[in-house]
Amino acid sequence: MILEVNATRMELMRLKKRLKLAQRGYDLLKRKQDELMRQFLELVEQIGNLRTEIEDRLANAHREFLMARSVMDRETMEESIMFPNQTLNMNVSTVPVMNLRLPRFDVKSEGSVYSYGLSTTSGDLDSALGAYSELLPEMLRLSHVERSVQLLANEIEVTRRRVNALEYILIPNLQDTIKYITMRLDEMERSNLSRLMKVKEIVS
Amino acid sequence: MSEIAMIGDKDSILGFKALGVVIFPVNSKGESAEILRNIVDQEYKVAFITEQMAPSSEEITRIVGDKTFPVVTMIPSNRGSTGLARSSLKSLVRRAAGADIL
Repeated sequence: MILEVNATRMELMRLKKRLKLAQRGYDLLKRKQDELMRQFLELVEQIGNLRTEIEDRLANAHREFLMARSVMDRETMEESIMFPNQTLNMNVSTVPVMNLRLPRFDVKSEGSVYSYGLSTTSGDLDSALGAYSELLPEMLRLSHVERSVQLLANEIEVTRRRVNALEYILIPNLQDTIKYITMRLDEMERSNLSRLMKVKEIVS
Repeated sequence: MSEIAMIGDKDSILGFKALGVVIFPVNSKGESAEILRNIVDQEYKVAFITEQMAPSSEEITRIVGDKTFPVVTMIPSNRGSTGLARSSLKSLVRRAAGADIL
């Protein structure tokens, strides 16, 4: 499609500049897209297994907790874990990838999970809490990987749309228009030339 | 201040309290949306929500906006996984990669 412009030399120069810019932008965006895709695939590969593993392990931990719950009465249970002894030391950071900031968690836990006396609680509670506490760092890993995948996926979609707009619409349009103006100018040049020749013939 | 929050039915999340996670027991999806809004305001870094009590992913996106934190992650409750988290991830990947690679 030819853009609506006047067929002048100045317009031609302006369009050529725009075309150059568009091509440069296209190049950069294309490279950005490739890199995003690479990072994305890397994470996607991890995440399938990670989620399956965590869901399985969590189901087991839940089962043990349920066992503990069934042999202890509600009050004792809630009392025993009311005051957590363990503090989570979580290091939250972001990893820059292109224009995105991907979240990242590193966890260190301090203190013991077993913040209760042994006399009133059941052994199932110990093992359930043990399982939970082993699982939590993994869950946080899943959390940041999954969020990264989400962010990357959205960014890839947006970038792809922009790349396509440049590749299939803006750049062809600019090229067509440049060609059109060049031809118009050439045509004007030729008609001018033949007119001059005619005038010269009459004069002489 | 704790940085991890967990929303869900009480039985599924109670155990995590012993690990220093802040738990928010809820009984409905509406309630958990409300709590999620508070969590965003209080600058928690991570929010786990059990699949059964999770608002729809559009709703979550609307509440969290485009902030990096908190990161909202769905986990199965003690009634097992509904596959909700997995399927929403799957459709996301399909849209981005143009193919079903998960």
